[in-house]
Amino acid sequence: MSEKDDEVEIIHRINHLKRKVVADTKRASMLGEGRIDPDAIERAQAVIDDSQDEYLDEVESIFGDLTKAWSELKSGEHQAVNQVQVYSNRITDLASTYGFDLMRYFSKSLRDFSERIDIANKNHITIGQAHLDVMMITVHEKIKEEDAPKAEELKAVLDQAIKKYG
Amino acid sequence: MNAAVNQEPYALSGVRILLVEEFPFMVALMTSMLREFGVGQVMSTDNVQHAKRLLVDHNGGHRNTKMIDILMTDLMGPSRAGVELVQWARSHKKDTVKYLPILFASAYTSLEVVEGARDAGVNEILMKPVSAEKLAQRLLYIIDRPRPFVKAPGFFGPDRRRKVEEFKGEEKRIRSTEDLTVVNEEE
Repeated sequence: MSEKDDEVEIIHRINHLKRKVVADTKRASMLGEGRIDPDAIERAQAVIDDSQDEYLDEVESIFGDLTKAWSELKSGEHQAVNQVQVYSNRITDLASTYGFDLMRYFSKSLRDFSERIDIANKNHITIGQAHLDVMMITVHEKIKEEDAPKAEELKAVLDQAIKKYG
Repeated sequence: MNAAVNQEPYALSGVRILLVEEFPFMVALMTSMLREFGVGQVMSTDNVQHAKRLLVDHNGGHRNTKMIDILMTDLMGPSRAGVELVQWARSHKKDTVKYLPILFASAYTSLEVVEGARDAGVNEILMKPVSAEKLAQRLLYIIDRPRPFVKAPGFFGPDRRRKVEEFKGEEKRIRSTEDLTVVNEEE
C-alpha cells in the first residue's frame, strides 16, 4: 500500500441546502438549528392518521398478491421467493405504519424466513404455509393488537409449526 | 460566537426531493407528507436506473434551480438496489451528485442493512414505520447537521460518526497528521 492510499481527507462542504431554506441566505452559515412549521408536521401526521381506513383494503390486496406468489413458490418457481419477500415486506411496512401489531409480527417473520427458505424442503414449505394461514385469519378477522386473545392463539400456532418443522 | 436564533420555520418551497420507492401506497403517503411540510417538488420513481437518469439530468450540469436537493431511497427489495444507488451516487464524477444528501428509508431494521446503508454513504437513516415527527427530524438533521465528508481507504461518504463534539482521545483511524487533509469548499 502506498502512502497516498493511507490518506484520509475530511471535506467540509458549503451548506447549499440551508441557504435554500432560510430567508437570509447570506447569514445561513451563522444561523442555528431551525425547524419545520409544527402545524405542517401536524398536518403531515394527519395524512397518516386519515389514511388508516385504507389499510384493510390495501393489506387485503397485497395479501392476495402474496398468496399468488406463495402458490408459485410451492410449485417450484425460484423467482417467486423474491416476490414473497417483497409482499411480506410491504405488509410489514403498512401494518407497522398503522399499528396493526399482530400482522406486523407475522409478516416480518415471513419476510425474514423467506430470506433463507429452501423451496425444495417440505418442512420449510410447511412453515411458510403456517405464516400464510395465520395471516389470512388476521386479515379476515381484522385483528389489530398483538395481545388480543385470538392473537395469542395464532402466535402459538405459528410458534409450534416453527418449532416442529424448523 | 453564538449562533443566531433561527425563529422562522424553514421555507421548503424551493426544495426538490427525489423519492425512490417501489411500493405505490408508500410513495403516495410520503409525497403527501412532504408536501404538507411545504416541500416544493417531490419526484418519484420505482426504478433505480430511472433514478440515476433523473439525477444525471437534474444534477449533471452546473448548480442550478432544477437540481434535486435530497435523494430519499428505500432498500428496494431483496436486490437491495437502493444501496447500489447510494454507491453509484457517491462514486459519481459530478460533485452535485456525489455530495447529494441521501436519506435512506427502510422497513428492514437489521444491523446488517443499517450498516450496509451507512457504509455505502447515506447521510441519514429513517427506520420505518414512518411518522411525521420522525420524517421532519431526519430532514432537519440533513439541513442543520451536515456531516463532513470523509474520503478514506475503502470509504467515501458522510462521516459515519453521529456526534460532532470534539473528540478528546487519540484519533486511531488516522495514523499521523500527515495522513489527514482537511478541505473546505470555497465560496
